[in-house]
Amino acid sequence: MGEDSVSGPAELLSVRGAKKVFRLGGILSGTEIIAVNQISFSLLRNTPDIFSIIGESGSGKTTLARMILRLLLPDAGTIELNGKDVHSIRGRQAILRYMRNVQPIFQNPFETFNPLDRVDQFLNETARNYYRGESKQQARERVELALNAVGLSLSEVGGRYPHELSGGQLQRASIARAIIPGPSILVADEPVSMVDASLRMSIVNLFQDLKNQLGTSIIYITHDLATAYYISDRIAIIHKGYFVEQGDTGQILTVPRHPYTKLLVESALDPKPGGTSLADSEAVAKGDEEYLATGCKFAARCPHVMDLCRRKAPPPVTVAGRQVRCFLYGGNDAREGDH
Amino acid sequence: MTTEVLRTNALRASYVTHLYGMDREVRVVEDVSLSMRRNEVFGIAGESGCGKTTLLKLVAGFCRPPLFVQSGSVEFVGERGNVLSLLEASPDELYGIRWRQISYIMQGSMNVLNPVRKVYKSFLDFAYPHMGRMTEREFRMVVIDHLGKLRLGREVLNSFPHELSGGMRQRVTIGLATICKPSIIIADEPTTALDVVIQRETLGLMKRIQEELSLTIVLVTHDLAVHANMADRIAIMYAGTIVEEGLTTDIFEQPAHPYTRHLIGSLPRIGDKERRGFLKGAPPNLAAPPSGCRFHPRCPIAVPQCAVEVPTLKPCAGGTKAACFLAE
Amino acid sequence: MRKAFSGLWKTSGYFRFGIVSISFAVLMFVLSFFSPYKPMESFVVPANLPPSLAHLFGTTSRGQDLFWQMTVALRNSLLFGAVTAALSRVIAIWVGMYAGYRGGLIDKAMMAVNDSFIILPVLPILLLVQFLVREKMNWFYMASMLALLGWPYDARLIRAQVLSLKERIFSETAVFCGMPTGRIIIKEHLPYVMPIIFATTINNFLWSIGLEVTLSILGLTNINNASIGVVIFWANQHQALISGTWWWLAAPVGITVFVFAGLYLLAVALNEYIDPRTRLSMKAVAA
Repeated sequence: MGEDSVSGPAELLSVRGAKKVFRLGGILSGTEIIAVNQISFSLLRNTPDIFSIIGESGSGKTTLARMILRLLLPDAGTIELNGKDVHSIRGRQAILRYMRNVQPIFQNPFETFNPLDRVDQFLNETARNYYRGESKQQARERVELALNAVGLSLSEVGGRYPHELSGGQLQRASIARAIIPGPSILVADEPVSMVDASLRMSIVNLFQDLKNQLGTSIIYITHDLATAYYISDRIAIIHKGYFVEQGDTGQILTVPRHPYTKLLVESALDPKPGGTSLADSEAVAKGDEEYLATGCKFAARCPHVMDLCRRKAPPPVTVAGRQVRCFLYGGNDAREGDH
Repeated sequence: MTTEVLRTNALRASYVTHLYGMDREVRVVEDVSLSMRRNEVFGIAGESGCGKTTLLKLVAGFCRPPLFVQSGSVEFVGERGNVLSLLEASPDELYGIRWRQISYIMQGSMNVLNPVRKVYKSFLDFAYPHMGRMTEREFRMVVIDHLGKLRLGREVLNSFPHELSGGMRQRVTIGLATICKPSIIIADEPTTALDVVIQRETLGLMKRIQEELSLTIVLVTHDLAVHANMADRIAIMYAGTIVEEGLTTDIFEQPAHPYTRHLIGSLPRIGDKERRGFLKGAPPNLAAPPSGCRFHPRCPIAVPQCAVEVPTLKPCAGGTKAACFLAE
Repeated sequence: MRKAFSGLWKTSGYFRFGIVSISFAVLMFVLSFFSPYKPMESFVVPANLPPSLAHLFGTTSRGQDLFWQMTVALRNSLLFGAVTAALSRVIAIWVGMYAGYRGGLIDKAMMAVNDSFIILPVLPILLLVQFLVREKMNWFYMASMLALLGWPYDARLIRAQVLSLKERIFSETAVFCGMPTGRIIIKEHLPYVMPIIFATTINNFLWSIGLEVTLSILGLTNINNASIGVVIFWANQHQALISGTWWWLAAPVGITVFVFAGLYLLAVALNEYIDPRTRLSMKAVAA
């Protein structure tokens, strides 16, 4: 409401240099894993956008999502909503205002709802808590509207328990719950990975409708490149805490530049008989130990690795209309580091 | 050697439950007749709840209450043509063929390894009893060699499952399933919930092993993209019935059944932004399935006959067999 | 409610047994108010008579009708157990839930206190207290003492459940629904905590009665106040086993075993019923 900010009034969500460190192991010994490192991106206020974040498990994407949702505190950097720092929000009313604007959609719809509660219970709660002073009837109407917007109705869903609905229906109910407060941003963490492949499109289409008809921006976190291509305009590829490539979806997925992006695009199965070569890829997936590498975290399995990559982490450079962190495209000022 | 290795004959099974006075029968597998051949990857595709996991259980010979077989049979055909009816076999007979002729990769298999046993011990527990006459030392060499083929080093044997990455665990599971060189591997959603890179690796590995050992893989997953790249023949399952069956290329190029067409049409691909439609409604409640063709309430081209008669699999123009009155 | 009762009755043998046992206990409880004799008055009836229609459980060597004495004894024991269970529930639930939800240093501090209580050896302490203050000890004080010793295990159980509930995704969803913490605890979490509270209540109840019986047999409680343990004490004093008045021991022991077993099995049956997982599969059947 007329909050002018230092970051510029045009930005709805602004993430700058976000960083999160986890310590594993005991107090005396123990390793540090930087789960999220120097992440920056923004969503503009008047242009609703579907921003996809592509990453495999262990890449830091869920940590990032939880920081935006205020479930985790960043160790460095800022996350601002409408110019106000998200993590300095205090007090129930202010927190409610924040949650009115930013709502989550979790991966597993069966975990999102309490198995012992009827599905509409959470929807009713949401309507109640964000629209105090309205009558029960008005609240029910809001719930019905939200359900209709996702292709469901109270007659279908009301009075039923989560296990009585299919995964696809339940995930849509979860989306309905999230849009009741009229959020400007939905943070969807792998919303379709637990849903059957044939049902994913209905949910993904729904996201597109929400953007076009309600003006909601969506941060769509997934490892499914095809659906990301389908609905998002901008995309960021996250690997071990860094955005390794960031920019326009169409360009990045059709002509990937970063070696990791290339690996992902190659690995995505083409739904055509024999569409994807299954010959064993050279790069064997590694686990958390990649986090401990100095320099570029992808160096251990990069086909174009250079000596420099193992020593320094590549800074972002702009190439072909996108940002890439890879020494193949520049960024290796010989200032530090000797060969 | 016969070409067929496993077949089901008009299999009908249901879950019958009584709980606190309420009775319920869920007809989960309805008249399923499938034939799997040697040296092929046979895919079974369908949404969650269509009965494919139950079908797999039956095919593997696991049939325990509340799952009851109402009629039909599952037969395993040995190399010399001897037929074993799996659902009627004695525990000894089943033990004899498990792991050595039929092995499994179950859903969530990465977590199937005992977390408190080292990998080698799991091999000892599961595979050694089926290896025939072999000393433990010989067995150890076989395991090392086998894992080497899967690009796993010796140190894996001495590790606990949680010390390995997800991809390595998956390879170990595949190793366990293949070490006795079975004739047939039954894999239930082996790559669901895996990241794209590990998924492609795992599938590539399975394909390679299949080709090297000339074995059969029965691959069950809802993801048609996986079938497109792995299966030689596919059976599409809906609400407990097989609605279409045929060569992968035929299924994708000329799908005859409306459900198959929907499944294929709903797959997104990189490079294609065209808006896709979806099917209204939800899969039926198998405790009270629709009359006639189980798909008819959601079918875009249903006619009155569909609600009355149950269609059977008949050959169609595109080369597949489909259970649809309008496809013949 | 009725459907639940009839469903349980039909299907669970444990439940049937438990209901029979409880009915028996309730019957005895009610009858105790109609007892024609004062419980510990002696020589009001001929002594050492075996069970007969006139004296259902026979009579004791002190000339007491064992049946009527047992009604009062059972009543007192049940009340004792109930008081301990109620008081210790209050402490256990409060400690378990507060520590679980607060977390951090407060949780650590509370658990340190909790664990100190766990390691206290109950029987020796009770014996000590009994020796020191026997005259002033009435059963209510003793029940309170047991309550103070009997909460830590259960507090930890409840806390464990709370900790796991906090981690579940639906708890986060509840936050985003705008629900205040108190409401989340009561509406979303309590149904999961209830089975534990319920199971531990019955356990605690039986445990405290057991302790009371132990102490009474040893003669360490007020032996003029009728309770199951006291009856056994007197039976031993009069060497009931040797002198042939077996009914004097059989009645209290038999009744105790019957009521204990019944309550325990009832708890098991009800617990399975209340357990979220059973309720889920039941709802699945009903769907």
